[in-house]
Amino acid sequence: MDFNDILKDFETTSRSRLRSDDTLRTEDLQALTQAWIQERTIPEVLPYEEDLLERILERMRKQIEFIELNSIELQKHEREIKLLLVIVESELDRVQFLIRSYVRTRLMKIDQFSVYIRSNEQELKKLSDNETVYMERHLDLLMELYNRQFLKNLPESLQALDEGGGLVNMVEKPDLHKPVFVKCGENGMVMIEGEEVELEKEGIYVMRYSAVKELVKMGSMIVL
Amino acid sequence: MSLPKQLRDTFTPKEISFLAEQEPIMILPRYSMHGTTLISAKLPNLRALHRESIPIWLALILKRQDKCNIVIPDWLQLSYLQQKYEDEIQNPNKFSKLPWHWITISKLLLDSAVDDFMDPVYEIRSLIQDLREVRLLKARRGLKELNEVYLQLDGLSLIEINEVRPFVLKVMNQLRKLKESSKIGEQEMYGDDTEIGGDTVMSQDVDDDYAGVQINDSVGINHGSNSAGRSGAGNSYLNDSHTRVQGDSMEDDDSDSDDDIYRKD
Repeated sequence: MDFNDILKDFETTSRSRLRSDDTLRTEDLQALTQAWIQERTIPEVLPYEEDLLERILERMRKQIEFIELNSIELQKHEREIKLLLVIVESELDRVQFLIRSYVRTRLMKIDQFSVYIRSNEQELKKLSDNETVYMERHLDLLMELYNRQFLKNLPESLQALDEGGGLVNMVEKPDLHKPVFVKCGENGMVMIEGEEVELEKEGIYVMRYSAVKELVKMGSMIVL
Repeated sequence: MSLPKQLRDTFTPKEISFLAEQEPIMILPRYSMHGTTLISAKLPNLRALHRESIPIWLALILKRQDKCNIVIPDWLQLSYLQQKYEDEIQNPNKFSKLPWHWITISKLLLDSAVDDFMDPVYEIRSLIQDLREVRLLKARRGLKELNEVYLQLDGLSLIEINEVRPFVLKVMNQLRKLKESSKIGEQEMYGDDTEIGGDTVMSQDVDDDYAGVQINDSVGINHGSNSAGRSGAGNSYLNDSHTRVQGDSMEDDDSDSDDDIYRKD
């Protein structure tokens, strides 16, 4: 192996590393987009994408630094850096929008199902630490409000907010049978009410979430 | 509330447009420019007159600053769209294959990159409108196949799916609940009043949702034997599905009832 080979070797490895960082960035954004779509369309709260968001937030911090650094030195480079700043800022806005909408959708579901989530170990695991704190505090405030405003005036037997017996359960749970739109990545089959439904690759279907939940989780199907 | 109500059932057209803007497109830079690292990818160094593939949102920024020309994708050429339009008419039971974001991307490009089109823009616009209307009609007709188990709609693009989404989801969910309650009803020898009440409420909603929908049917196609008045065609299909939902046994006068876009085995 002579010097040139080593050099070439070095070049290709560094280039492939660059390229892999590049694809990771692209994949991460796609993953975030898909996570957002899933939260919006699927009835239950999904596990919080902690690592993914951590990576993206870190990159966002770098971009903000870049913007701050360059807007100070704006006079020097003039034009080109201005355009670059516009590009960086617009992308930052786009990613921020995705994250914000993702988080808000989760909060909406957490508000809606908080009593159920709090009583269920597995559901609790899906929340981030911040979300758990938020849910507890929100629920405390709500309970206190209800108690002060009217519950204390009711007979004790009617004061519970999480009564499960009888015909109607007071605790709101996500309706897992709600239909969702999905696109299949491969041929397959699902059972719905004893009926076999054959799935074609690339086919677009509407069916209840409970039937396709596992396939979505495995990634052989994407929600739309 | 953390998420406004109108965002809960479906996406807004703007959000769909947002998704479409992430798709790549080919540009022809007019000047050279240094690249940079972005959150989602690396913006490569741009060299004048060397084609490069970048996301649409980025291409639109450069375009606005007159830094590049956008290479109009093949599927936005007149001949291609004409072919698709004929396909649509020849196969009344199938959607022809078009890109996932065809409506949205064509709108973005027709709004901001008119000068990059080779074909006359007004012809492309009207052809897209025609294509859209034919497909919309098919989608509406398919609605009467709605049932509680599943529905297949191959070939629809995302924004077209988004348009029918609130209606389809609501009807399917309600049909499911009706079926469940009728099972309980059989067991208990009496029907569940609240659920039947739910049905009428639902049909009310259906009317509300589509009250404002008018099909501007300028497309000259025949829908099988159904020669209902043009302007009312869309609504009569809707009424079909409407009555179906309510469980009336309406005469099926549409010869395309073995429609295989929305099939239920």
